[in-house]
Amino acid sequence: MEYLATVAILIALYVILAASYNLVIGYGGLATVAHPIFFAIGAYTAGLLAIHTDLPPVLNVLLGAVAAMAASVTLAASSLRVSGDYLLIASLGFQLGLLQLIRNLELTGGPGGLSNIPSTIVGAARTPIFLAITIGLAIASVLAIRAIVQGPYGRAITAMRDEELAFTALGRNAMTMKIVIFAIGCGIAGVAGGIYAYYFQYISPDQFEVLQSAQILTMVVLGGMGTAYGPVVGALLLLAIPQAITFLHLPPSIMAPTQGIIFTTLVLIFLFVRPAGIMGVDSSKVRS
Amino acid sequence: MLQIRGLKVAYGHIQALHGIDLDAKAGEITAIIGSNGAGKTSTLMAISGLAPITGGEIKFEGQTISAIPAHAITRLGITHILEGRQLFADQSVEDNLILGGYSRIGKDKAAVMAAVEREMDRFPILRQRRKQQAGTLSGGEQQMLAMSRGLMSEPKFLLMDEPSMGLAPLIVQEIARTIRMLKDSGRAILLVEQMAAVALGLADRAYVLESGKVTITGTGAELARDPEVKRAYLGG
Repeated sequence: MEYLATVAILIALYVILAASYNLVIGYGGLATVAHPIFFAIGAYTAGLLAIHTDLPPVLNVLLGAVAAMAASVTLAASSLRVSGDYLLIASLGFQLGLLQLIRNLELTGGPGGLSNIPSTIVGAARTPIFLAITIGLAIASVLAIRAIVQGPYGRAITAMRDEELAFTALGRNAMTMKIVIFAIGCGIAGVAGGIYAYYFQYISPDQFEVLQSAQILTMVVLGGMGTAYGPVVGALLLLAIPQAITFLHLPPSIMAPTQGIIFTTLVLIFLFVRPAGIMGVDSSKVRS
Repeated sequence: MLQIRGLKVAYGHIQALHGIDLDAKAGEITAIIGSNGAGKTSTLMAISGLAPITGGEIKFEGQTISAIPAHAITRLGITHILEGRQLFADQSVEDNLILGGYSRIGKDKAAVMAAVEREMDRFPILRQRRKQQAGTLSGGEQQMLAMSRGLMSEPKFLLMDEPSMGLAPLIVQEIARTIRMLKDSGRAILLVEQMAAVALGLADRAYVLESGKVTITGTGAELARDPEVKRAYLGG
């Protein structure tokens, strides 16, 4: 049961990551690969504050989110001045550079990472409590993002993404809107990071590699980019199915490649059968 | 109403406008004609803040606007209806209109909806298409929507870029009628058109742009009679 609960917590955290990435890339149209580093900033900030201060855990997680947000504004405000393509390149540099910094600083524990993050909740109820918190947060972030993109602000976000020139010509500031969307998305990733640090009590640079972006992006695309519930379905499917085969008790040498094959096969199937994702509407069919 | 003096626009090393002078008066239609790449669109983009100005000055109602960012220009009462219409294709006709009147959303939703109704009175076809995706409209309907969307903010000064683009002759006549109607309601219009005959027929004053310079200027009727203009732009 403990194992299942941990998998469920992980899935819920990835729902938060995928949903926030979807806000940035799917709705905002902002190409970035730096989502793992904002997850990391949230995790390291909360982790370090937990180790070195007596601040309440909720505040530490929030400060992690604020740190991720502040970092994201720095990245977006500087690179978006040039162009949207530049954000992609700058985000790659940001992700690689900052992770390298984390890997080499004494404060962050170097390549070995941060261990001994205090367990704030102890006892038999620890896992169920974390499970409730993460699922609650996952639901809250998905609904909050849905509220943003389906309200009047969402209409403007879509307009900005699809026709930026016309959007500006109608008197709106596309730049400010992009920075705000980016900051919200990255701040939410920071919250997920804080919870991650508190639950696992151990974080290391390897958990926040740039390849994580590909995994989260796959969840978003497979579930349905630019849809409210797509990332939920994507995260569930891509984490639950590979986890399920661990119950087959295969030797590790077969297990790892099998999980990779399942992951890739799923992506290929969806590419052909449902290119807009599970929750997405195939616009080529609607238009004809 | 609008004075342009020595306006220069450059994209990197490519100079699009080599210092042009242009005046647009209140209540008048001013037309710019010229071939592809002459700098017509760049002129409009410079006014609305969407093109990089490298020299000269633009004044609107006495105020220098050359340094004001694009999103703030609209608030002065200038709206730019872009070439190719640039509708929000996946959103409904109604949403496109609402987005055009954004500066009031949040402050006064009722006023925005009243403006939507006003625009649908102007173009009744838009009311019929209200919930339809803008991308599914016909070319003429799309142009009407683009104009309506621009009019949502009730501009004093309208920049129109190639409203006839890709439309059937009959529809072009209808668009021309609408432009005249907008003028009669007291708006100043700066019109860029490749269809010189249509533009000169509408214009109180017209400018011919060639390779980023103003070469001929006069009233619409004068230009329509000008042998050089006739030869180069009116096919005779």
